[in-house]
Amino acid sequence: MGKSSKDKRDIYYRLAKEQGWRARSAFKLIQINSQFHVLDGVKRVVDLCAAPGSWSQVLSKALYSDSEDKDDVKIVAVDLQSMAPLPGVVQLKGDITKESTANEILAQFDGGQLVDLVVFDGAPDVTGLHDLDEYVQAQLLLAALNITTYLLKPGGTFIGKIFRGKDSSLLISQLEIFFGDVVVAKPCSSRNSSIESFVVCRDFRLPDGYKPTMANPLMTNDSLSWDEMDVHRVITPFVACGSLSGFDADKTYPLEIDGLQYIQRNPVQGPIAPPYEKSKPLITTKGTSVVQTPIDQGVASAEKLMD
Amino acid sequence: MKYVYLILFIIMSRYSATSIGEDEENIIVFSGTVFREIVIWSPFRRLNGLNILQRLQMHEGVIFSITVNKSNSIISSTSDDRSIVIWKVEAFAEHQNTYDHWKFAKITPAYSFYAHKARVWKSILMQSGNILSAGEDGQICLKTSLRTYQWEESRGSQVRSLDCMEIKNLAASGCTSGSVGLWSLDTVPKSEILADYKKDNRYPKHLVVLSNNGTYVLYSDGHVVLYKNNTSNNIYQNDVLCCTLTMVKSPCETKVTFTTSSGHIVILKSTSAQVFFDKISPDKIVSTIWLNNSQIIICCRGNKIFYYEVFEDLKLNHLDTFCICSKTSSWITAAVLVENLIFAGCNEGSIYLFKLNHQEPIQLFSKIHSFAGVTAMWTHEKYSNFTVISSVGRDGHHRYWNVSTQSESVYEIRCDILPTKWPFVITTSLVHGLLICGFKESNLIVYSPIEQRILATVPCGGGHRAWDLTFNNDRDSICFVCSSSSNKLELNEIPLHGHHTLLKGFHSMIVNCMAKVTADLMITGSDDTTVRLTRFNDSVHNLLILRSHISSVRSVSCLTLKPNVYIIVTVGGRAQLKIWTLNITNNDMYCEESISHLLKTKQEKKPWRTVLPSNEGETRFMDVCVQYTKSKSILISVGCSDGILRLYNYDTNNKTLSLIEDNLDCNSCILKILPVQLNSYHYVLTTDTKGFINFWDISKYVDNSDVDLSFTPKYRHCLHQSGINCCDWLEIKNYYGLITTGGDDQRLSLSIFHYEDTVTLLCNTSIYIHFSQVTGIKAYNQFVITASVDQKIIFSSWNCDLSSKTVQVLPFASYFTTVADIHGLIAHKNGDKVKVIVYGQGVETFHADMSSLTQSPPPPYTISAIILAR
Ligand SMILES: C[S@@+](CC[C@H](N)C(=O)[O-])C[C@H]1O[C@@H](n2cnc3c(N)ncnc32)[C@H](O)[C@@H]1O
Repeated sequence: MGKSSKDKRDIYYRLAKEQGWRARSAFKLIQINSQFHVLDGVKRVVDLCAAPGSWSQVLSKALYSDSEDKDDVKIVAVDLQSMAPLPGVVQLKGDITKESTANEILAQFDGGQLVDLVVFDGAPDVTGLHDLDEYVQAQLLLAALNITTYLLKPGGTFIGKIFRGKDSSLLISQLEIFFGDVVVAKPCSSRNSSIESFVVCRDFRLPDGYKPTMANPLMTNDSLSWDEMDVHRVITPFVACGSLSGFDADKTYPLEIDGLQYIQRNPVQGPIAPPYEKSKPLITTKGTSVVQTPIDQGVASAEKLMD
Repeated sequence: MKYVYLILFIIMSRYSATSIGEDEENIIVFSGTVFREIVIWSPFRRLNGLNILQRLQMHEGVIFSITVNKSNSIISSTSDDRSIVIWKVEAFAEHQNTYDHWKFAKITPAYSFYAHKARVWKSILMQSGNILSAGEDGQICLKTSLRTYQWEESRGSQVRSLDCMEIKNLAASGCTSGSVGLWSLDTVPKSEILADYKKDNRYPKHLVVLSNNGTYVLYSDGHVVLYKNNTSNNIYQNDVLCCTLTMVKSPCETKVTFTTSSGHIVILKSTSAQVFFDKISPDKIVSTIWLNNSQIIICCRGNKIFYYEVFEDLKLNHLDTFCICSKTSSWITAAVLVENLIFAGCNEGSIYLFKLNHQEPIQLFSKIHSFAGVTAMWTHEKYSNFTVISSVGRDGHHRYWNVSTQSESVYEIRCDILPTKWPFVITTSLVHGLLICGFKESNLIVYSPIEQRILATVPCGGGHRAWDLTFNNDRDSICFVCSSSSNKLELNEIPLHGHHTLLKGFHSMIVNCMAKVTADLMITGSDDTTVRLTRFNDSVHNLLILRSHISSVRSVSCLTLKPNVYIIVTVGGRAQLKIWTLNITNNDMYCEESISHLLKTKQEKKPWRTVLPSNEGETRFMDVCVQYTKSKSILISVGCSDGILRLYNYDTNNKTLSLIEDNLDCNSCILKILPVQLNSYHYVLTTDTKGFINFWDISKYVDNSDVDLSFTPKYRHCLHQSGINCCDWLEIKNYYGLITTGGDDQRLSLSIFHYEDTVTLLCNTSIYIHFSQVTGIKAYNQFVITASVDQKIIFSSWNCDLSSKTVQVLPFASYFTTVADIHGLIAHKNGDKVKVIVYGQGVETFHADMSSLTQSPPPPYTISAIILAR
């Protein structure tokens, strides 16, 4: 396969490189914003699951150029993985399902100031089994929502990635407990064939008597039983965003569009240390199917937690 | 396979967990986190508010599984980092309860190992100390202290679940194709050393193995030694044999020939140790092939081929001479005799058809198996006027040929992609039918094209050494002899019967499309690149697997050519289109790949401009439909990802395909197409990712008239906010018709069109009934069936009033399916009974009785289901 083949297959991959975004996902936030104007007037924002950082790039570009007082702006980006630095973005490495991460984020906003917007574009390692992926994604979104209940100001906005599948209606009705207005949005940079969509949740309000907590799971995500599956239920509106004239994520475009010259480019920012990096040379060793490695005791650790 | 989820998600947001313990106090949970850490908990017992006992860190990725052995002394864990880590657990004191054992134990990593080429889903510690593991690479590995054995359950799919019963030495596995297999862990290859030749200062140049396990070895010093039943005998010695280039056995194994670079031949009789020796050529003899038990062909330098008869007394009689016209040095590497025709492949990958008494080949397929050569051939079924032959080559392809003795010609029937680039034997066994052996990296593999899996993988150091093998039908095993890297001659007995299929699988990835051939015979295409022909009745019966698409198969369409003969068109990624001709006679099935087409434009040579690589190779063919034209050729319409609707003409008589139209531009990626006849016009409807439906008038090509074709759609309308994934057409009356569409926007939409001369939209309506994109649709009078990624199939009733221009739709019943990621549905209505097949990540069939369904509300309806795969 030629070097330019991914450029041909995916117009947004190519555009991201041309425009300096670290990932093609940048366009998803841009398109959601052009539809819902979620970044208008926003000063403090948390980007959950931010690596490699293209949403943070979009946020920092919008927030710093919009505001007169740049000191008011605060962007906190959180991810499990390391991420190359970005000016104006505070980075935290942590698991969003942990309370300690929530506390670390809170500590960033001194004086207990709440944030205007929480965005979440997290995705677990996709296993390729769609119902399993959908389940894990829902769990991750609920974890993000848990953190959000600590951080978001009343009336604030939350944007999160969901996989639309058999249980998404339940997930959305749970979101509706916390937000006055919930919409499912699909930016046109997200492929038609993908099950990915985004929930745009506006008008945040904590239900009466609800205390934010990370200790026990916020909600269960059990499937509905057979008889509950009736068909007359309120369905959350769906909005396709990105203008009709926008690029089509599924279309195969020629390398030369409208007479613009095509230049082959390298990705803006590659992944930092994927987990299988070390195994690569080992599992391709010729002549042996099993490679046994001694343990580097310096790397390994077994921590015993005694009183 | 659902139980996997349970184990995985005992604890929210942890990727894996396992638990042990006899009572509540002593329950210990081992969980793996996304943070590369294993946490050992006592969920019901806290100490100073803490219930975490230990944290183990070693892995560099998400933990997928943790297992503990019976005696609580070893832990094994698997991870995204592809490794399996074995942890040693040292008890602090003896006879502790479980809680104390895990609280005070000293846990250290003992070693880690890599047995899989992708993520490792599970490992099991056996009491014997062996470790069993399963991975995303589709392999099941058994690591013993001496060696590692590996098995494959089903080609191209992952092994997702694994368990073992040690007292019976059995393991069970479940994989993404939906199959469940049972394995006998005793049925492993056994090896024995035949000779240690280092001390004799010689090495084996060539060898052959006979089915009685007798092995003839030609050493570099010209000695031929027979090894059998733990004894060795010097059979023959001749210095001429020091320059032997080939050593081959006859099919009956009674004769072995040696040919040399000096032009000598030696023939040994294995039954009587009789020998024939002669110089038959002034030139180097480069290859020898047995055509049957008494005829051989011998190729000499200068591209000359001699055809001999070998008598029982081993004397030779020259029958014929042929030659290959090639500028380079070329010789035959595989050949079969079909009456008076010789079908032969050469070292340069070309295939020739020779006719007796004709020096030159009468037909040539140049470099068809790529430059690295044809390696083996096999004769399959013989029909009245043709014989099916297959060939394999170093291009990793298995090609089927139709050799007709009547017309004295050959054409290629179809081709399968093999799991190895170096196949070298085609044969049949009583139990497994057709088998192909080959080398893959440094392993010998035995592949079954029927079962679509590798039956055995044995490390052997690769093919660049002396080796041979033979089949033992009684024992269902292979005997493989090769010289090992440690200068020993090793005999391996490789059993092929260690696996039993408990549940048959289907496609290993998403099923993208399905088309009906006959009432219960379906053809499907999948992301796993295969096309399958399957009978769906009470069970799933797989009849044919066609593996020749280079990328995912996205759409399939079928047309009856004449009784029992069908034309099937498949399209998919990398702009590939294939046309298959399927013949079904009572219990026999013959399928021919008549056309394989890749979209490519002839590059215009414009020297003043640097030509950019064209995007056509990356275009995906999204959907296809076929119809007859007036002149009885077949019109094929293809909706493409570059927004173009392409039209092809297929002439069934000459088997030629031509692209007749590629200027119909829809602007956006086409998702679905549908041919309809409106009044006297023929249309193809296209739907796209921007929610538009386009009506293209293609009457010119269907009626073979010479009216001009319009390059713009006759009618165009936006029905959905984003992509339209499925559509159906239903005629109402008086030039009114209903188009039902399902969208990515979760809507079902009904639109009524008037079409007497021009097409106009009369009215439409749409409702949200699904929670995810709608991907399958079928419209009937009064009701419409939709399917969605939300795993629901919904029946809605509809009615319209043409005078008041209204159409209404109301859902009245739904059915939940276990098939995830539905890609479409097929429905068949017979009276009040509707049979529906939905496909996606698996397939499910169910029946609905409309007479009880329409008596709503409430719906005590009857839907009976058979779940076919996954
Ligand atoms: C699709 S990427 C996000 C892309 C990002 N929005 C951008 O525009 O560059 C998903 C990220 O989710 C992160 N992630 C997954 N599970 C997580 C967890 N439990 N806590 C924190 N991050 C997580 C992954 O490390 C990954 O970087």
